[in-house]
Amino acid sequence: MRFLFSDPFRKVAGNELEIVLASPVSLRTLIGRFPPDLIKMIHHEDSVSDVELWAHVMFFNKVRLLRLDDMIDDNEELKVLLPATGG
Amino acid sequence: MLGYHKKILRVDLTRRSVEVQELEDSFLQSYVGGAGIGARLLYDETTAATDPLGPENVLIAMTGPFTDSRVPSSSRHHVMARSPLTGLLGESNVGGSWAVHFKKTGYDGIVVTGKADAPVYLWIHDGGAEIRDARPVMGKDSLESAEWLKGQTTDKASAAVIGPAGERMVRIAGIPHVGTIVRQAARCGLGAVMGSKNLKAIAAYGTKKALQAREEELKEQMKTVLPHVRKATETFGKYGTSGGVENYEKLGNFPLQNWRGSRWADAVKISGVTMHDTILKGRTACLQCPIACGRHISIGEGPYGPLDGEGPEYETLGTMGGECLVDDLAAICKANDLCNRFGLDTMSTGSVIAFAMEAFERGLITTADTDGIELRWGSGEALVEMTRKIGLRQGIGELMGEGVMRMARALGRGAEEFAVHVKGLEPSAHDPRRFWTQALSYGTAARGACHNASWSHPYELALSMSEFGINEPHPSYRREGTAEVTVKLQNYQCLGDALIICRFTQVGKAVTATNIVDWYNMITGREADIGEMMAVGERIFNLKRLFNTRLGVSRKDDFLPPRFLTLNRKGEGITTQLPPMGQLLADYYEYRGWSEEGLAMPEKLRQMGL
Repeated sequence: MRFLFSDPFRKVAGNELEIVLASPVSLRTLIGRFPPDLIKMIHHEDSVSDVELWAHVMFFNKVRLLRLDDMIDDNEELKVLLPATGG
Repeated sequence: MLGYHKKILRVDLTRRSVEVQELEDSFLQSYVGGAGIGARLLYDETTAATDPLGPENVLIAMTGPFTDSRVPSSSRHHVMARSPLTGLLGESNVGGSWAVHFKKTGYDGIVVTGKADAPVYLWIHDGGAEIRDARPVMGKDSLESAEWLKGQTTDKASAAVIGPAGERMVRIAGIPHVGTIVRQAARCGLGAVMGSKNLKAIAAYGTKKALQAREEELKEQMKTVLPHVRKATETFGKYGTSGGVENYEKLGNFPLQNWRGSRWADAVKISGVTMHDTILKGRTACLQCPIACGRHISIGEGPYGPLDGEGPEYETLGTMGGECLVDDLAAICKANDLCNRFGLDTMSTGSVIAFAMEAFERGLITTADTDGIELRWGSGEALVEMTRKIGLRQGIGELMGEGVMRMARALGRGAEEFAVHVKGLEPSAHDPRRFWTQALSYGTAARGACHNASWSHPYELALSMSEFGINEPHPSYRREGTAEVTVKLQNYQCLGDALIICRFTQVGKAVTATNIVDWYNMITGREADIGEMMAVGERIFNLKRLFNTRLGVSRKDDFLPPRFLTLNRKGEGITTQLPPMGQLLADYYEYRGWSEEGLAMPEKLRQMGL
């Protein structure tokens, strides 16, 4: 599977991060495999809930915004974006 | 009831008189403050015959019980009048420092009627209000004028002060508020209302504090609330509203090329992250706001420099950047600065320039109309020069300053097909094809295509509010539940605009409905519950609708412009779905208890105490 990073995450993680998954794993587990700088940037160390995660970062598949406990399989491509705010 | 001074200042500029109106507790309970009291006064004191630019129009600025309290992000107020842009209810909610400085003078709000026989400004202070000569600063921009006003009053004062656009009654003129920072009551042409009254500014500074019932308890609670708000909004505060540019472009929400584009790789050049990494000098905040979403930018030498001041917001980047395809951040910053100085709504200004660019492309406007300026997509020079022309009402700027609806009518020849507005108000930078709750809210909001009426786009992604039944984020592109979520959020935002609290406290669920009802009770001494307070929000929304109903608004006016209903947005990774407005409106009216024509029914109005 692949993560496609937007700014500012791209500056730390590059444009893409590819991870091979033998079997589906939760988004929470996948994020735990991120480099330490990226984990700190998205505040994952504090994100015990979806709401806390979504305050700092959003992960989208082709259909929807993902939750921490959503299962991700190897053929997925996830956009990594700043949270929803706007003016 | 505590939390108020229970006084409104009434200024009749024709008679040059100042009076004080006392407010009853029952009135305060029913309408709370801000948008609630403002809507009630506006409804009662205007008629269908009121000319928005005539002396009979009523200009209202109202604070709320949260203003000048410890509640975070509450240094705001609500400005209302009949709008010269839409002809309907006009309103704009604005932050900064003016609201706190004004409320400390001992009044909850101000109502201005009439027209002065020469330019004046109001100086409001602990001792009362004075009508003073403003002729020395007529023609000066809002920032220069604010400096002059400080010299005439006190350097601590904040001023609601129009620029040349308001003075010239440009219909998309806003009211810059200059104090510790600069913020505008931008929407609906309220700056033109001030100009029509020969009222250059309202300067305020005071030291009085409205008593609060359980102030110590509120202070104690803030010891845990404020760190929570700071944490939940940390990422938002770091990149500001402009942090939304790149993500919303990727999600199909960011407006492009007068709303006909789908994808734009250059959005990254004007994103909040780029701003943060290049020209950001620091963050700015409204008084008492722990979020600090404002941008202080600095640009050195170059075609648009030097420039040091407020940076553009997400909505400005969407309308002046995306809609015009301008990827030159410095040019947008310059146009934004001109809007602050002239007193122009950046959203309407960017939108009307994008509309003019499409008209230029189609040959409806030529360089003979534009004093030789090539109104090409992506031209930062055109953006800046047209902003200047609109603000000074020069050349084609005079027509553009009338807004998209009137400009399209004037151009004719099919221009109305690509004129994007609802009820005469140009949309903010959120695509209703991406978020159907926004589609419904653009259609039904009293002031027109306003995202703030429901502020529901985050609730189609990541937010929920279980206190009033939004237990999960609402799924996009699903008709079922869209009306209910839209109605509930419209009512909730009306309540927030009455209490006075910034929508951004909802980011990351930093502040909940339970919080704001608790704080209302602590400040006023009441024992209200969420049901009662949501009913206040519903009452206010319906009252605004009634104002427009009196002017002939019904279902026919609640549809979106053709571009949103016929042109889908398809690009790499994006396929939006056109909102089924007829069905959504039917659901919406039923949920509201309105008729099929979108009229509030007498029984429902009685239930709401209207």
